[in-house]
Amino acid sequence: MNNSAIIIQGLRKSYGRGTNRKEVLKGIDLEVKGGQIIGYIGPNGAGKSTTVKILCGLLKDFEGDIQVNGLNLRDHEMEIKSKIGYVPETSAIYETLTPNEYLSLLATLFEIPEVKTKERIDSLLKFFGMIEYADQRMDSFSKGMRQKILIIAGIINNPDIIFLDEPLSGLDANSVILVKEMLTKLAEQGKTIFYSSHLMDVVEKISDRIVLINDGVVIADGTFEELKLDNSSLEQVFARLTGSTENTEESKAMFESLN
Amino acid sequence: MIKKLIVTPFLKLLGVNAEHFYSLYSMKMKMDFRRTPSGMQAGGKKQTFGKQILMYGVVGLVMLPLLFAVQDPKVSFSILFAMIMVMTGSTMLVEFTSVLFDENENYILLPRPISSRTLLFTRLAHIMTYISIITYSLSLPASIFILIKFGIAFFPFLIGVFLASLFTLLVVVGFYMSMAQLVNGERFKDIINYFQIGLTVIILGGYQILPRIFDIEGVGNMSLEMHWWVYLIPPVWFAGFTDLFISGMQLSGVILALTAIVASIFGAFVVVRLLANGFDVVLSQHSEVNTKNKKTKRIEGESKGFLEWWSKIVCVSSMERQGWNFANNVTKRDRKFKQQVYPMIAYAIILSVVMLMPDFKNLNNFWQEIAESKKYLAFIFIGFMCVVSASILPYTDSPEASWIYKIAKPKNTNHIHSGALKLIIFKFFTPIYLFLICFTFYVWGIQEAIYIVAGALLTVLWTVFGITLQKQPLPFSVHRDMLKKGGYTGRMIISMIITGVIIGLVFGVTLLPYWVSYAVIAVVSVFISLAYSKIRNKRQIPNKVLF
Repeated sequence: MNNSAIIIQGLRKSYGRGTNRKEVLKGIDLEVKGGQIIGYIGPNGAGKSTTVKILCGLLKDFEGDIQVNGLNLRDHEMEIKSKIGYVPETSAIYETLTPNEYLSLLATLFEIPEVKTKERIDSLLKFFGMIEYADQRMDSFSKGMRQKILIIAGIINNPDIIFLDEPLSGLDANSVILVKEMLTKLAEQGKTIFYSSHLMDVVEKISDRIVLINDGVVIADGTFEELKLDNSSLEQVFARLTGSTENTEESKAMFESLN
Repeated sequence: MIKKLIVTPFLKLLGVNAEHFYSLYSMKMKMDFRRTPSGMQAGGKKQTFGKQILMYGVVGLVMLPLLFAVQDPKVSFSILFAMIMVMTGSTMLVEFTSVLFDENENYILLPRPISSRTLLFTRLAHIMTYISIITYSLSLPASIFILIKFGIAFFPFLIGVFLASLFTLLVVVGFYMSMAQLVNGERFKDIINYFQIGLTVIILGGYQILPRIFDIEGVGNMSLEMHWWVYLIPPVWFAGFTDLFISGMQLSGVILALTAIVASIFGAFVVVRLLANGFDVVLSQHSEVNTKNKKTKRIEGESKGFLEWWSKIVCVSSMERQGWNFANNVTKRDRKFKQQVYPMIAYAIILSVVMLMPDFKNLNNFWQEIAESKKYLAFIFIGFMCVVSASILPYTDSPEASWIYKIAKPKNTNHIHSGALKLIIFKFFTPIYLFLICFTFYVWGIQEAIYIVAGALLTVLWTVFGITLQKQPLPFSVHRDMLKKGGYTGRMIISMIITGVIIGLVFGVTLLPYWVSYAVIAVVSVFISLAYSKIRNKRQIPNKVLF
């Protein structure tokens, strides 16, 4: 699949008014091909989550033009929402439900036929090693277990495009491997993965293309091979491009204050 | 059968996806019944909804004398429906606004293909379920009276109660939705706070004005003059609807009954069908404010000034001062806390005016009359807000942060608790009370002001003592969900009853020699001090479960 899955043109978003106005996105232009895994990275407050929230319909008041699967986001929100998956950075689940109940509810909202629902939920829970907890209330789950449910909820509708906002938060090493494997396989099936994170090592390994944003604008866009210089890691590329320093003065002061 | 033949077609007419609605609604109800304290809240007690219903039923008994005394059912029903609508409106404002705009759920549902209409209708149905339970409990004594006295009119009365609650709910939501079209998302939540206070004032004010439209010639002979503007007063519609089955088919009754039905059904249509299109935009604005607050909001040089100075006088230790500052910072910034407490302050101010029962037509005589009365005692009644404010101190949206108590020494956490409690009482109770004491001094004199001081101290004593009795959890350590739906209004009612008892006590003191009031102040002050000391030295209940 090589057609454009996402086209973002002149995306701007600001919060506040008057002197308190803060422009978080200052004109993002991006085209994502179908089947790509995009690593969307940037420092804290760069505008990563805001971009993802706009693309998923959580934030509506923005400037610019967005097309998803060839459809304009403002005009075809429902069609687009039925074709995308979203894994939020916050642990947004109905905690007092069981995974079975919660995922069945989402399946109903996506109008997945009942006969398929059970089978799909079971296979996803098995893949993530959660089948034995299928009928336990999620308020007793650890952070990692909740994160797995969030990821399952993000793909239960077999979406064409999956937006993930810090999806590995709280997961153990084995689960991280599982998620990476799952994302790679989904991309092989032609799914587009929009992966927002600041975990550079994972982004470096799974992404076909890396988009680095800083202060609301795209400052680098290309494959890891294109972005790195010599043998530098993505972490080093990130530090170089976002102007981060070692803050020696600040660290010295901090350690002194602890003594 | 009913679902297929009536509900589903009705939902389709409103533009609601029936399957989505049924699934979401049933899940919401399931979740509500499952909510139990866990982790940090293990020490807290769960208030059963059954007890609350019983309490509303008891409160509903106050409506009975009205039904007995007033001959014209249209009049008594109008006042009855006004009371029901006031309760519905204020409960919606104070307790269910957060359910309507549920931010956590927005993250779950907004990225899914669920229409604005379905989402809004589901939340309205969820809220309406609780509002109906509350209003039916409240009107239970009246319903039984009507069943016995009027027979068949019992059924239209029950329908009228539902329609009146629905109409009130729709008016509040309609206001919210209309406002969202006008106000920038940034300011929306702040405006909601002010709106809650403002509407509470309007509702309560209207509640006071209603009896004045009647031609009062003795309570029992009140009659309803059918001026054209009477048809514009919603409680009269629902009264007319019920009265139709008592007084028979009169043109005015038919018009009122039709208005009641059309206003409620058409209101639902307007809100869900027409205004709902902007609902997801409103919700996204809520998420936006949330995002913005987390990332960019700075607390810029907030002056502590007087509060900090005062904390040095009233707090006995530095840890107590920490509790004071902690509670001050949280209550200043926690929007939901403010949403619960500020409307109550509005209640308190209105009630203090209402209780004087001013005669606006003859103000000169009025001042003379009240100076000779003991109406100042009514001011003590506003102390209920002190009890309620203190009782919601443990509730927060992020109880996880209370892990800090786990690693602190029990003595320190106790001091934090007592410091926080002192702040709540000082911040939300003292200013209004000081004003009322000055007012009492001005109108009645020094001795009467002393009685009010005694009443204030008794209220504080009850608040602090009540907290030690209930073994209240530490400040901001219990999830707000644990405050059961309708529970807040319940607390208000209980607190009102308690302050009523305190008024009785102070009234008793006014009948005794003057020195007794000074003795009461001295003794109560000592007991307050002892009650605080009890909080500071309480034994901590070990938590078995961590989160």
